[in-house]
Amino acid sequence: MNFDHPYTDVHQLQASQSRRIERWAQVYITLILLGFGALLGRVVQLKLAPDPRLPKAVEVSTSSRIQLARRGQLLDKQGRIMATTTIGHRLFVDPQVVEDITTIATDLGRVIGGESVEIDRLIHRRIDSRYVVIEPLLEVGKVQAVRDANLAGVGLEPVQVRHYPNGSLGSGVIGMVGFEHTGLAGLEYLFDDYLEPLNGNLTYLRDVRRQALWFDPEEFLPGRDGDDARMSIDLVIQDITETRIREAVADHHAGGARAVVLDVHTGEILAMCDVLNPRPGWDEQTEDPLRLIDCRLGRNRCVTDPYEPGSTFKGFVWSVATELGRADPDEVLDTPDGIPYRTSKGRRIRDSFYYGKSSWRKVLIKSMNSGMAIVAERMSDREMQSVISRFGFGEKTWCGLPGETAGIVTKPGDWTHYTQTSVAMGHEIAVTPMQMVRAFSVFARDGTIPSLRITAADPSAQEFRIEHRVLSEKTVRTTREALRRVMTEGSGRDSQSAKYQMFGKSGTAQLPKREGGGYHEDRYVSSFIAGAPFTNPRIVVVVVIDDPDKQYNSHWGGRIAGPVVRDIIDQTLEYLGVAADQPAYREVFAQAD
Amino acid sequence: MFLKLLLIILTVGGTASWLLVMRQQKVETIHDISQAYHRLRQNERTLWMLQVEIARRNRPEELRRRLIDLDLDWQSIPAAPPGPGTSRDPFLGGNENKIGNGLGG
Repeated sequence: MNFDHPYTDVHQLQASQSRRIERWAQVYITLILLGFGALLGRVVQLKLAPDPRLPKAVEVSTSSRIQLARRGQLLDKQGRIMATTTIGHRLFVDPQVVEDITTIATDLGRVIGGESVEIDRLIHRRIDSRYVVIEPLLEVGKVQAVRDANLAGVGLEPVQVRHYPNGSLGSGVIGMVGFEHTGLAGLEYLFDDYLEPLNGNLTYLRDVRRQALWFDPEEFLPGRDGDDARMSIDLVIQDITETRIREAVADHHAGGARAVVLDVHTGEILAMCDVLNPRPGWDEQTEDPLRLIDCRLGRNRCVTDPYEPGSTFKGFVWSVATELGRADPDEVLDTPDGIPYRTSKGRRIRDSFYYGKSSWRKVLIKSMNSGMAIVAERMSDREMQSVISRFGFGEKTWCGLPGETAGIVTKPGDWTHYTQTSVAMGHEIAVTPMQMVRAFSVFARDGTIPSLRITAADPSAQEFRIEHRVLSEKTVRTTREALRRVMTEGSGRDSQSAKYQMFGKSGTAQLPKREGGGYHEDRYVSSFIAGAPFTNPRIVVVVVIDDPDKQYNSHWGGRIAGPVVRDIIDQTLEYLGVAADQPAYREVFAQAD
Repeated sequence: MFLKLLLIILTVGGTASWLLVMRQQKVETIHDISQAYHRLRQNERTLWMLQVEIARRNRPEELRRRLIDLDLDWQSIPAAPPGPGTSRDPFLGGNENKIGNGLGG
């Protein structure tokens, strides 16, 4: 039997199937190619001529946000926070997005506990704006409530908030930051570059509810917090100083007062205080208009405003005259007994008390103007001028604080015979409290003058510091001993500490008239400067009381500024754990043990 | 031929799926990192607030008031003698160098 069927042949069957597969394959490949072609065409169309609605939709889906970094902290010598930054939130409304302003004002008022009428008024005042601040700094507890309310057109903007946890303590030194969070005054201004942070930036894809979907790591720049700065100020010593200075201003109804506490070993400024007390009815008072805006904005008079040191300057002249051999401490001078001394140029020099012939040492202890004038006349002009320059008067201390002045010194070309004797008594020269503590620390050290610093010294690091010699060690010993006797036999008797042996000097200078032309007859600048403990000095303190009211109390530096210095020294050394060195106190203390 | 084509399609499909999985994992990892970073910043901000509060409650004035309330006889910690490197005192002698940086307590 012969079946003549085309598919009976196996080869033919296979060939037929192959052709069919090839046809289908061609169809598939053609479809795939067409698909790719269509896809490619669509890509080209999207790139070259997209639908006008598309770019808008793509653009709004990304947001860029600044990542706030923190401004560095200002720390005190012990690491306590003097100034720090946190992130707060500013509440704002975008009136262009808000559907009904009255409703949103009511809702917001309910959420933040504010007056909805006031919110409504705020929004209507700038209805065309897209940014109306409702609350410059929202309370922390209300931030989450605003987020939870999820009100359309209401936003929270992170802002930096500077905190001063110690209130007004040290405000004049610390200064403040402005609206842009940059330093405006004090240490905030001085260390602005150091404290300044570098904000980061984040660009991310967001959904229709403005929530972040994801971000490209390439689009994220993390911020860098500012560096912390550790200051030499010790907040406890600052508190001791400020408390006592404010008491003194109140007690003496003074126009103001200033004080500086210095660590003589390191040159660190441990405390600095400047108080002004505007007294109604008084003319020619020291003013500082910026303090009326904010107490942190005021100038720091410890470095900006010079004053006439009066008798506190005698120690410097005395030590240099002794070192130069112009007088020996035991040499008896022909100081007057009852009448003013008349210099070789005919100038009459008055003393507050006439002791008759006295030793050069007694001249310093009793603060005798006549004795100072006698020895000043033995010195050349250049030698007297060297007193000023040796101790760094007439030049800045370069402690770094803004607005520092160099004081007022008579130029050598303008030097007269009167200048020679005036300077010996601390007149015709004006110094800043900062210059005074630096100069006086020479007597508390080995005769070298330190570089002042407002940043904390690192006890573990060997820092190279330039110190130049002002006096020999022998002269320092002699001068310090004489200054110690000022506290027991001289004008410091009312100011002697029961715990620590002090060495110091008082000064009472007449207040110069503002418009020039001499001095006020009955207005003064009373000051006192001292170091302690005598055997191994740790600190030097200067207190200047500006224009004390004679009606309230005495005006003498030893009477009103001296006790303030003593109290600051007592409390500061006790806080620092320095052992008392008054023999009587030590005996009592030993018995108690 | 059909098997070859099937194999190619499966391979390409598998590779594409695997790439999609990788991409999704990358997105999720980035998301986790961003969440962690966000939490870190939030905790940091809380820490800053706490620092302020601690500093406020430990200011000298506040501590002094509390010490008075406790009515105890507090003693200062004795200061250590000035360390090497401090300025030499002529009354005490000594040969320390002139690089003044010691705190002395």
